[in-house]
Amino acid sequence: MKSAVKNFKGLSDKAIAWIFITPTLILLLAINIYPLIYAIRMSFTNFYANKIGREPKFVGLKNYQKILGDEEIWEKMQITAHFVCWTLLLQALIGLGLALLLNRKFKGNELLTTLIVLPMMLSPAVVGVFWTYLYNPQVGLFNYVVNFFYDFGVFDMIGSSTLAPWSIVIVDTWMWTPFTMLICLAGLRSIPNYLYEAAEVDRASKWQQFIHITLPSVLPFLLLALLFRGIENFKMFDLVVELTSGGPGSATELASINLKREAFEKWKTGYSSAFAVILFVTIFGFGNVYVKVMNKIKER
Amino acid sequence: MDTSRSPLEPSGFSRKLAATIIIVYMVVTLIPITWIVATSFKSVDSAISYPPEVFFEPSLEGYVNLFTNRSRQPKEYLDSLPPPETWYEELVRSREMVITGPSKFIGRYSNSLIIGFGATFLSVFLGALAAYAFSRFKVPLKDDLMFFILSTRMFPPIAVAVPIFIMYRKLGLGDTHLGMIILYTVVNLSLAVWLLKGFMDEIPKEYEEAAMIDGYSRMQAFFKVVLPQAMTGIAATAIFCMIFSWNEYAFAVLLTQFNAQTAPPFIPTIIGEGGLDWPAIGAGTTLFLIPVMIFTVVLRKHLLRGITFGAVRK
Amino acid sequence: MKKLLSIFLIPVFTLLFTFNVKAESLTLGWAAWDPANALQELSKEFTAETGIEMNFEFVPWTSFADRMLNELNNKGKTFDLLIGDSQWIGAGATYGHYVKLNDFFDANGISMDDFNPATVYAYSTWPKGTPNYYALPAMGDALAWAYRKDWFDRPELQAEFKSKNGYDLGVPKTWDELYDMCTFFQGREIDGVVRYGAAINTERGSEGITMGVTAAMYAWGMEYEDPNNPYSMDGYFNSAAAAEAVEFYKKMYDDCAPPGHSDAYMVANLDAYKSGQVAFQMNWYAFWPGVYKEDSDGRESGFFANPCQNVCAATLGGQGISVVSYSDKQDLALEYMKWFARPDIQQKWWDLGGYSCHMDVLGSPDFVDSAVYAQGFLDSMGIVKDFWQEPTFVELMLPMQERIHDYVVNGKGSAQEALDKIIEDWEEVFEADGKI
Repeated sequence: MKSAVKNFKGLSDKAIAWIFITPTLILLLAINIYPLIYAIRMSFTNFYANKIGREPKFVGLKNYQKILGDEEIWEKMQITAHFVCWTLLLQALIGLGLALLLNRKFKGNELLTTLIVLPMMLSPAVVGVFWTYLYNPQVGLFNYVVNFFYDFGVFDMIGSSTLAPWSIVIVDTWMWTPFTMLICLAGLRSIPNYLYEAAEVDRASKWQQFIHITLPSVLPFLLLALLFRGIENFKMFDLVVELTSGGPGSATELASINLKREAFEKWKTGYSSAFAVILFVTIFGFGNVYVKVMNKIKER
Repeated sequence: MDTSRSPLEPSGFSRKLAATIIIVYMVVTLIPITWIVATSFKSVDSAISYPPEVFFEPSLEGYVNLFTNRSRQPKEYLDSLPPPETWYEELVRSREMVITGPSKFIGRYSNSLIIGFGATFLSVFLGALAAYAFSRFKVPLKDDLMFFILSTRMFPPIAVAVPIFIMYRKLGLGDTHLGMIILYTVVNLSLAVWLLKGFMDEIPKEYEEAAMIDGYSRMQAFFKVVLPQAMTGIAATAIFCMIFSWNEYAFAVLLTQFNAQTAPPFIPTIIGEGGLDWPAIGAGTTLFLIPVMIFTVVLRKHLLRGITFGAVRK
Repeated sequence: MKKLLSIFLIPVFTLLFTFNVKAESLTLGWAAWDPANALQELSKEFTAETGIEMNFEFVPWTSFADRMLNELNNKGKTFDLLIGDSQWIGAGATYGHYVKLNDFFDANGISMDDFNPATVYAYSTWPKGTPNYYALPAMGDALAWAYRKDWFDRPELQAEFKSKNGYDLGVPKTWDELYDMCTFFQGREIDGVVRYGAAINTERGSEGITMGVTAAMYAWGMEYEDPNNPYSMDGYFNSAAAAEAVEFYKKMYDDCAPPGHSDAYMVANLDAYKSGQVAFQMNWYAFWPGVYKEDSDGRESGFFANPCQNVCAATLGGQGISVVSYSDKQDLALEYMKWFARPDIQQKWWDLGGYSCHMDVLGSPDFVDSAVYAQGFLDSMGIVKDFWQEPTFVELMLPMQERIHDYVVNGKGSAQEALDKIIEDWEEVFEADGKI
């Protein structure tokens, strides 16, 4: 077959392969690798990007030492961890639950799916600012809806340092649960019918079918969705910055909000590059372990 | 798509229960969106009324405010001006204000259209080329290259924003449409390549080989035979790329200023008189949601298929 | 395929080519707020007179400093004229962002003696107080207070307040009185709705809470540094009085602010006031024309300058107008400035809702009666104090925002600790900048 194709007119397959792949690779390399190398290099200096003409000075590992030894940075990492863990947990449970419910035949199924997906299509920044309005205890809707059924009292979601970390979890869950749901739904629909039919023949109960067929088939999809959400939420910036701008105090100051302040407001390019590299390594580390575990589960 | 599972076919009761739970969830999850749309039809005062008004007299003030800058002026000054010519001028005058000029919304919205559609087109196009090559040809280090492409999505925008900012400043790409199109294309490429490769793998090789026997070159066969076959995948990929580049905020706020800034950084900061103009923000959000919504509704059949393929082919 | 292609490409190309640039035009940058819209209205007259089109780029306050300073650092040509915040003058002059205006003023008979001296000092000069001018005072401003005069006038409330506190309910003369009145209104039901005390600045992201807390700190007599030993802040910025002021501000937040008022600046304060939640709001004079003109539904507003405590002082706001040195159209920009400095235009500026700094306007016998807040404005401008105007002011602002917010809103640590930590942060900034 191969030899037959080779004789056709036009460029050779090899040439076409490279013509097709190179633009993508060049773009990715230019926009991703250059900045990465640049950031690593700058992380060893005391460079300020806004002070043009001032030569950066090599400072060795000082930036790294400073960040890793800084208690406040660790607080920010904890805040990020709280946010990532809770949003993933909630989105996994609700998303999977909804997908299981939606994966049966009833009228308006398609329409409902489309409507439920709507929050995901909004711009996160707009979502953030609009939820400040919804959360406002006087003019916002949130407190009135919550207190409609039972008088809980006023929830100052953004102003209280105990509630604020939850306020961002709620909004992110509201916005991105549809994403997990969609991917799980795709997984459920790809399960071949004959598996269930075979199980039925074996007299397996509905519960056993769920545990032995549905769950194992949908798990890789769920894990994939959570991988994407985990990466996205670890670098979360837009939604939270518009919602709480890191407040009250620094109760919701996620790592990347702090990074933005250091890099784009104080212009400590050297210091913030080091911080960025540390964040990279963290995401990559977690990501790698996660992908390995995920592949193991898939293989089973 | 056929969703029937004969062995799992639920009883009438459980099906009703499922539908009820879904509907309750939908209602709850749509409250904020309904509220956004409702707010866009409120007047400025009614939007910050305390307690919030569920029933109100609809007004187009938010939409007028979205497109204009206004200044409140004393009656004597307003009387000295020529009478209002259009309905929106009249509406503004009736609030004892005068239109001082157009707002930046149209400019920002156009930027969003240029950058959003431009980046979506480019990433789908380049993604399709690369996906085809990975799908059909022997490429050295194929798996490594594919993984490299995927890993680019793990870069947090804020972390790469500083070097990109400096690089763009040097290249003259800072605050330009082209710069932002390239950037969003890069972010979307990983997804585009992975999703589309799944679809390309599905298309039988015999199709283009038959075409080539008929005298097409490989290039022609790709454009005239393979691409039309992959339309479903292209549509699904386009939706995801579109949702991302349409709504992206971090790069837009950090790398663009006045020339190429898109709407997402603009809408949350629409200022009315003194305070944030909630009806105008609602109006902006509504108008901004419409294109992606249409895009998605039109192509929604492909949405689920897109995910299935992308994920299964991993 | 072709159809899909055209769906993508038609909007892209039509939009790319519809952007056209006018031959003679100027671009002016300012913050997005009421006075900017008034200036846009005023500038229609400049276009009518000269035929030069005016474009305006108004940036929201929350990103105003970020965006404008980035533009200047990049030597951007977006702006010909910039109405920049008073704290930027150091950076504008030191890094050469702003054109020095002395020769232009001399050549066109514009004298800085015609402008209110406090505004010239704050908005135009660098180094501070020297006759080196980088801006023309455009918009005088200071932090002040508005209150619900209609509630204050109610006899039953007046009687209750007097019996409770032993003095009359009226414009508070000190922060202690302000606190009494705020707590008096906190949680009180008026016309069937629960009301609260005061909407005060608590914003975290840009400069809000700093601008608010310093209003108290200045009134307690805080100085940033030893007047004889610049950049020596210990014992001044973190003096016992300064810490007491910060504690007082927290007390105001805890006892008088409406629920959820934890990230509020100009916008949220106005919203809280306009929706009838609060008896007082802290805000800039710039907003009072709007608030006053908008009084309705029985709402009647009164205004007063920042109350005294140990001393009388007020937080400075306001801006000067500068010509950007990277602009290609400096001549046109200077023409605009010349027009703007004209006394008749300055009078019109005040009439439309801008705060002129021109002495012909401020000194005219009609001025004080021309608006209810005019006298307060004059008083305030005599006692204003400003945050650091150093080139590094953003780096100085950020730690203050975080530490103060953490203490006042979040209740973390003590006021003294917050101030001590801010000094540490500031010393680091000054060291990096080679000042100490």
